[in-house]
Amino acid sequence: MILGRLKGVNAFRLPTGGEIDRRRALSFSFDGKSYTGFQGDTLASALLANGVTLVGRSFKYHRPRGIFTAGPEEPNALVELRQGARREPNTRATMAELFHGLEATSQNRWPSLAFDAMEVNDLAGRFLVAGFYYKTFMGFPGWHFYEQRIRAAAGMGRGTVEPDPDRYERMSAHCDVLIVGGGPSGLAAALTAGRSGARVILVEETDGLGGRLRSERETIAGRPAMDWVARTRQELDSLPEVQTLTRTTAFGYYDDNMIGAVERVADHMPVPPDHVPRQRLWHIRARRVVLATGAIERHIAFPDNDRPGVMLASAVRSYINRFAVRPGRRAVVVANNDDGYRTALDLAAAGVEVMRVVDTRPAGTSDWRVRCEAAGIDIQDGAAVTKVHGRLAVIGCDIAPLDGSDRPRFEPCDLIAVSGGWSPAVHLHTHALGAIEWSEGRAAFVPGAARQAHASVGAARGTYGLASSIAEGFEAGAAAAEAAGFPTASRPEVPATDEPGQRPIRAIWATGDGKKRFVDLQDDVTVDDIALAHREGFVSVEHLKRYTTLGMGTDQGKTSNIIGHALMAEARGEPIPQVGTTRFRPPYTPVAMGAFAGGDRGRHHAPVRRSAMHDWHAANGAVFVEAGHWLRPQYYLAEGTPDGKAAMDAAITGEVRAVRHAVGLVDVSTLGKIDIQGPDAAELLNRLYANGFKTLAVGKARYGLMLREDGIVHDDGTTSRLGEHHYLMTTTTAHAGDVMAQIEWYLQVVWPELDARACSVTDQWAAMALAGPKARDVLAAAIDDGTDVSDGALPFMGVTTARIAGVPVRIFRISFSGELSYEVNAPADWGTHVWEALMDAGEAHDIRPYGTEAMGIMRIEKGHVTHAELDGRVTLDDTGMGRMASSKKWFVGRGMLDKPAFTDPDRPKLVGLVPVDGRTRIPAGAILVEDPAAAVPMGKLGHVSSSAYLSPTVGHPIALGFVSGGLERKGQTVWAVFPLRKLAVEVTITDPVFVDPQGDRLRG
Amino acid sequence: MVDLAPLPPRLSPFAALFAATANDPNPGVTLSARSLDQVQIDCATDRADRIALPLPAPGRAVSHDGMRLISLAPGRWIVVKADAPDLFDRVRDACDGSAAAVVDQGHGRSCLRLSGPNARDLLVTGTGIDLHPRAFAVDDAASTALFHVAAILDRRQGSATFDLHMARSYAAAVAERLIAGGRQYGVAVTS
Repeated sequence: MILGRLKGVNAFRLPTGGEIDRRRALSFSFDGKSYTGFQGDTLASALLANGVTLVGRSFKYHRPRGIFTAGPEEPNALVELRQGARREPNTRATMAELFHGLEATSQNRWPSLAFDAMEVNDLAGRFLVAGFYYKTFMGFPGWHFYEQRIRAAAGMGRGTVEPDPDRYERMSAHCDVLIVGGGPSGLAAALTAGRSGARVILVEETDGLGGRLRSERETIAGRPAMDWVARTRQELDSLPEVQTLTRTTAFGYYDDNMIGAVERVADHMPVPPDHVPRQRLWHIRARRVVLATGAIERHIAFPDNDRPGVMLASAVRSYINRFAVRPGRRAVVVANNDDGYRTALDLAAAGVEVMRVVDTRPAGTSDWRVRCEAAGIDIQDGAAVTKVHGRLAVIGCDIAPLDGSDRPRFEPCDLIAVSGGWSPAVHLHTHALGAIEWSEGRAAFVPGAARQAHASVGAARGTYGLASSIAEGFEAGAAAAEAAGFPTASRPEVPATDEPGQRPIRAIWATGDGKKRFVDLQDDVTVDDIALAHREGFVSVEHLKRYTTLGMGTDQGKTSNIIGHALMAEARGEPIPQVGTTRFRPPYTPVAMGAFAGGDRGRHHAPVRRSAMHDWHAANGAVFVEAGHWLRPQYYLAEGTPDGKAAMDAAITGEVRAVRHAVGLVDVSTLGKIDIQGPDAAELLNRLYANGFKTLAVGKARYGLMLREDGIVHDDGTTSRLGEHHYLMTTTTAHAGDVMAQIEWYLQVVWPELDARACSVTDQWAAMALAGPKARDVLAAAIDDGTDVSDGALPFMGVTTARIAGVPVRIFRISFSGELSYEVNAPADWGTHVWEALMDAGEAHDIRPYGTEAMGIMRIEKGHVTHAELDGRVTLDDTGMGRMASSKKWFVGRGMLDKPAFTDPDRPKLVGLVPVDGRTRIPAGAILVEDPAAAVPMGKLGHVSSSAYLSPTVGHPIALGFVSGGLERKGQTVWAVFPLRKLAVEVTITDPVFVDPQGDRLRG
Repeated sequence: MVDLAPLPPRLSPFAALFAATANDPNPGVTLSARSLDQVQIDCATDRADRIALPLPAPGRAVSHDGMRLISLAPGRWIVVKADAPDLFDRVRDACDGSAAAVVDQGHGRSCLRLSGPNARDLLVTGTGIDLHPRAFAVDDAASTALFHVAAILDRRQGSATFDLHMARSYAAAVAERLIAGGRQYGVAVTS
């Protein structure tokens, strides 16, 4: 019952044959209408089986278009595939494998495919010639208005704006021999290379092996050629070091023999199976590469050669032989080579009425022609198509002798199969900078000398015979394996084939005349456009490309470039090789951006770095903020408190007050920690830091500032002396990586004579700062080995070891908040344990964990600089710490300190800023000016580097900034302006230290 | 003497992630967290012969006396061992006093053992190095990038068994990627 219905619907399906699975019917829709196809169909073959030939509208003229090819070169049949978040525009119907429920929509038409209002562009065609866009509108008032309209009219499909729901993966692969293309020559190469034991990867763009053999009626050793393919695949699968990737397109050939490929893992399914990526991007690094990429047929530019029903001859054979589809009822075949005869025979065998084979060559004979004649097919020599009848579909064509000896005669037909010869797919060869040479005999560019370790075989090299392609494959596979160090046995015997003799191609690029002889169907470039480009002086192929957009569509001119270049050569009166061709660039076919991104998206856009106490923070209300790769608690919300502006302000205020009045605990694990050992460790530090380090005693910490070689401040931090030859340096979170790299550089390259070693221990130690007037009480309560942390035993800048809750820790009495403070370092896997012990010990004092916001406010209150101030532009003097620089020693950056720019008295210097009205926030990044009403451009006095929009301690907003003249302007008012946000705040210049300028609290 | 509390159990960076991961009954890849002690040795290459340990050549690792010694770079190694609180002292003693800088990294790098028939398929989604047994054999080691994170790869005995040593702060992020990518093959985790 169902089968009966399907038979009726698939009116153009052949009763037998093809690779389709007639037991597996698949329903799909195109433009909302339901159809049925079979497993093994592409969207294109299924549409043709249902008699659908009109599938799209052209880019510029909105002309009706049909299915032109059966492969990746398709210029016309671009559709939107799927719906919603998976909607993908510009999908080639010829490459989309059919699946149950597939939804496809035509694009670039309104309101419907059969009636497209923008088809007026076709009538207005004489105004829309090459370059019209630039000539007509550039320089016009309101250009931007027109540009949007033109771009909307010259549309491609619509992408989705929803997040991509699928996974993508990047794969890295290495092999001895990579073979690109699973046709006869590629399979042969894989066989000899694989048998040698070499590691072989074979990539094939379609869903199965065989290449053109899937689409032709060839025989090998007296049996259908696909039997040989199946046997070969079986043997390849049995070789453990041979990997075959189907549905995989090698899209680019890069330096060092690296090939990029995209594997469409799940594009042939409605949605990818759970956890399976939709696509994989492969980076394949191969010792040798064999390019068996085949060839691409091209058409002939005759008038209205773009009508639905005009199709490449090779595609006609694919639809008949591989998909069991008759692409029409009555066909005219036009060709400049013997493939016309081959196609006519296949059409006849499929029950398509062949009205005529039009051979553009003068009369001659060949085995193929003889077979055609024997089949009773009409042949007309030395003729061409001069007109195509029909608009939405071909209804016939006019055929006339090329020599004008007779008037055109009408031939009714609904299919015109055209072959203008073949172009070897040299794309990857030229990506790798391989040369190409013009072959007059083949009327095509063929690969010349290779620049990397690759060779081309079979049709990719212009070798079109089956037996010779297999022979080349055997040889190239073996040679590649040998070059990679794998000896091979003698070459296998090339199996017998049945290949009729052919007469050589005779190039012809365009026939007939008229406006609409299309060269590039996707970009609507006509023969006239080429002539116009020539007349207007764009005679180089590179200029031709840009002026006419020849080959600039998503198909990159696979079927058309050579036609355009040959026509330009004719116009210039020069041979084709002299005119040349544009260089192919990756990617060979479009690749989804998702494949390049792989798994590096969302939270994993960059690797996430978590402190040892991360899970504790998360469980205790932390709101996280990104700091480089780190996730740090920004502030902590009480249980059940929804986040929001007020909740955040309350949390931050509470955290600051806890530290200023009792005690708080903050995670500072992100600070860089560098272990430095060796007899010359002190000398190393003395050279790195601007201030002296030789006198630092064991058990003491010192604040240090290091400069870049150009004298600008690089980083700051404390360094502690743990032993005679053992130091621990800390850096800011922001500069942890580059300070470490800098030290390695100095030790390895600049001062190899120093006997010192540096090692990052940032991850070894979980670090937490216990701060506030009650910090000592809490610490003493938490210590369980009796270590004395009284002010006498552990004074400010003292260092000791102790045990907390059984864990050996290091304790540094240093302060960033300005309070009495201890930084506790615990081995990271015990970090949470120690943190919890401190929180427990602090319970009596209402200890609070605090985040980066409270920490930032308190350091601004204390006037401490951080990366916001040390932004790569400031000097020691600018920060007010110029006196720290030692005059008794040399150090990195020392030589640059006296340069005039550094001693300019007008340099902006660090100051504090408070709003004159006592309440307006001062935006960080604001520019400091004398008068915000002054005419622009106005002079700049400096900028705001850090801002505390609330300061619970001071009671009003405060900020740090740099102002020309620095503290000489103390007490003056200036304006902090932020033109982007239309803000202007009047501010008073103050000391940068707002709290406890004498430092009594931290020494308490 | 003061009564010292015993050393508490270590908290693995993978603990929360693994606790939330359902194990596939038929895994293609297995991720096992390994709690190790680790010591880094760093010395001038011309002093390496003063170190009383069988230090492997660059790109190699060696098992010795219950320890695993892995080369990170010329003059730089790590020594790892499970449940070896004395490892630091042992290595420092072997380093002849001042021959090398010896740094405790036992908590600084976290170790995951990746094994199973699809271990290689999964690893090559995050690293560019060639992991084929011909190119990366048992006892081969590499310092490389794994999902953009610096990692030490050490190939152990077995058909496809790799120890991954990563900075602790990044370790969970790498494990997240391994689990997400491994699900297509089936994943099991052990703490």
